[in-house]
Amino acid sequence: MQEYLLLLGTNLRIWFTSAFKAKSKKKAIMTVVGYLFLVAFAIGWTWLSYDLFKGLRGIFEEQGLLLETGNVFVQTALLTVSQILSLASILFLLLTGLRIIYEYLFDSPDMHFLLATPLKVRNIFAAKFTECLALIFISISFMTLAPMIGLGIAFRGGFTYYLTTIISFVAGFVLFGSLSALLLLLIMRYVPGQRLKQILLSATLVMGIVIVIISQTVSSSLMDITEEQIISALSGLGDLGINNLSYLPHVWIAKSSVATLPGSSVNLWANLIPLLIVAGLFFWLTISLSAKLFLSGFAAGTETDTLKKKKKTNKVATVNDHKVGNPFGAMLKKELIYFKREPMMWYQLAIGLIVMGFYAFNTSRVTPSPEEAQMMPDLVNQSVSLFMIVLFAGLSGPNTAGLSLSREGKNWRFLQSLPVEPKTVYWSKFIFGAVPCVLEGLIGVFLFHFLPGTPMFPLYISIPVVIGALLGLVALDVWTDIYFPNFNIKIGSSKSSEGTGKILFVNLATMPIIVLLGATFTFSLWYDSIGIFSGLSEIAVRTIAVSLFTLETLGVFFVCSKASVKRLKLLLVGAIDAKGA
Amino acid sequence: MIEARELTKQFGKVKAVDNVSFKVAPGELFAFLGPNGAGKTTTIKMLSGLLIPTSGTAYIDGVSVIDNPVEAKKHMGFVPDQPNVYDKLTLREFLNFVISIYRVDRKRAGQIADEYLDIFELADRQDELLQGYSHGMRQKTNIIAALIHEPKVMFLDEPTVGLDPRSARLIKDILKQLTAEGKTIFMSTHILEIAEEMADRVGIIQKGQLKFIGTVAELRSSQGKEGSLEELFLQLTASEDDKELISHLKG
Repeated sequence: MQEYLLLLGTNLRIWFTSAFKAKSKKKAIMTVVGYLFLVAFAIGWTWLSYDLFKGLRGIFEEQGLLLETGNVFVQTALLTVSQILSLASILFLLLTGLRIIYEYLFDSPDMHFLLATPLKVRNIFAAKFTECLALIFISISFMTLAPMIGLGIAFRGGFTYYLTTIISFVAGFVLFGSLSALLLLLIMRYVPGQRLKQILLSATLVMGIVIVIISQTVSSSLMDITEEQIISALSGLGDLGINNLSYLPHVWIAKSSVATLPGSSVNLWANLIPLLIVAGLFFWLTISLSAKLFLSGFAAGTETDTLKKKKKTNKVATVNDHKVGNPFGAMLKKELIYFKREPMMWYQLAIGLIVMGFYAFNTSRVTPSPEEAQMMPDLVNQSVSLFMIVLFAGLSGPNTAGLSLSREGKNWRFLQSLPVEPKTVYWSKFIFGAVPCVLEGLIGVFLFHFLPGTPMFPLYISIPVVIGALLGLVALDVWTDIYFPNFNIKIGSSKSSEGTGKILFVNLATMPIIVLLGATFTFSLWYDSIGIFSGLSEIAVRTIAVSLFTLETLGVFFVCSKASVKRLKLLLVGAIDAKGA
Repeated sequence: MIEARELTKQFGKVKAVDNVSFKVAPGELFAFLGPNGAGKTTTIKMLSGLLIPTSGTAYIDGVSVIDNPVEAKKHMGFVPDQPNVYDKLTLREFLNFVISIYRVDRKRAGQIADEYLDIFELADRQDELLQGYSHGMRQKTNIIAALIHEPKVMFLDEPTVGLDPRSARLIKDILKQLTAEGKTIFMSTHILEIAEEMADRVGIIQKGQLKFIGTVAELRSSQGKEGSLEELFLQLTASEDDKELISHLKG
């Protein structure tokens, strides 16, 4: 136990030092701001959940249904809601947890050092696994535990409600985290490490896409839902009888929480005790098996596969001519191969398209009343559609263009050693960033154009506007990365949090430009509120709007491109320091 | 072929390299030695155009690395101390990328690449993604990439680290062959036996200052004693306390 606590304490100290005692004050402040943002998000989310559950309680009360009087329907409905939230926690755990467990428990860089020390192997694995679970719990709980707190406030839960809810959720995390670790051990037996990392990343991203589709479908179907439909849906879910299945761990989690609400007839101990026992048992099993199987080499069953020789393949010298290569073509080809082989890229693109698709679908379903139609002329609706496309497609930029140089990582020094011109590097990075954005923008334009009932400009206006705006934004994204590169960022690794802050920063830098472009494009709607412009003819107004818009996009594009090339010239020869270079 | 003129690099208050000047002639293998943190990698980075000196200048084949870095880099191959390669490319894609960047005859460079792939036993693995390569295989990949455009000057920062004995021997043979062809090799290493066996001249840097430059025989004569390069190196770079400790350990 002493060794276990020593290891946990050391890891906690390392985390605290790297998070809050950073060498640069800026980094320390950014970390504090990041945590404050998370806390603010959790509070906001709890408040919103409380509001929703207060509404639900109101609906129940209107029908004369009260939990305090022991109403079984309300109890079943709350159990259903709690079950959905506990299932969501398990889903999120699988979504992010598998990768974290693999990276922290089985692929940790300090594991071999620790195993060489005279510490008990089981204590090492226990400390590492506890660290994983704590990390997963912190990163997920504010998403799913916050609504449970909201539910408790709305239905007047006491101190015991919050205590049992936290205990049951923690136990649930331990149980399903342990199951995930055991599953991983089995997979590692048959899949080599590098491939497993790819599979885990792809699986995580696919699950992310599924969650986005589900959440969008739910929010789309909730747009016009009535009180009767809510009652009927909860009644239908309750009738499935899952609440009565006493052997399901997520039912134990839900029942343990609801049991402590005033008026509930659910037995707390009949659910909490089996949950705690099973969670403890699986935690012990995971630690014991991990320690034994990891050391016996069970989990490295296929690692030696990589040493097997493959059939001889083609040679590098397949070209029969004596032509020289093209550095720009080579750089661009490298970037596009990375785009093709990086699952994260496809994920960003897919998420952007799904969200944009649902937005278009929801917009097409809304039929404005004659009064609304009079208040909001076509031009406004069309402009909103157009700039929502720019916004959705532009948000892909920070993930691609905004990390275009930083993603060179440790290869930056190799690139520096090559005889490559700054312009060549810049334009290859620019195209790499522009491809997904423009692709998404064009798909958005065609989607909005061909979906009946969606307000949209003709293609000859929307295509050049979207492309022009996006190219300007991509140039801005690439510039921010070239100006503040961070070669420590590891794309797709759950251990590297530096990328998230950078993406957030680029997003913040992009937003004002999108707003400015939108405001310029809709100049004809607000020009008469500025004295000097009032009284202008419609043609003059449109000419000014188009000229200003063109000037802004071209201006951002050329200024950012020129500044980027200039900065790259210095970076390539090491004249300025870059993070991680 | 390589010329350093009063190279100085200052990081804040620390002078990593202090007024270093030397020349390395064509066909010469120059071993650059020094304790950890002495300024070896910083010097190599300045000579190869990866780092701008605070003052001074460097020339590769008569081309200024500071004024015309792209042109200077065309004449050199660089093998860094950490073998970093593009993980998402296959070995073949990576080498074709390098061939195109150097704008060399693709057929000739391809033939050289194939030759080295056979020598380093990587020909069968060239269609695999580099992310699955071991440290040694990555090191070999970096060495092939530095050789395929037939550079006049090669910079190697600890080239044998992580290599198996056969590959380390191969590197030594390749370097000897290159110098026989008139190429210039600038190599930093901690393995003093390699430096003693291969180098025409050695340079010893300590705390950013060039302590000695010349042949091993000249080093012996300057130190006034016979012995291996290791002993001479320790005598030159060790502090009085270190010397006392070494003699105590030797009994």
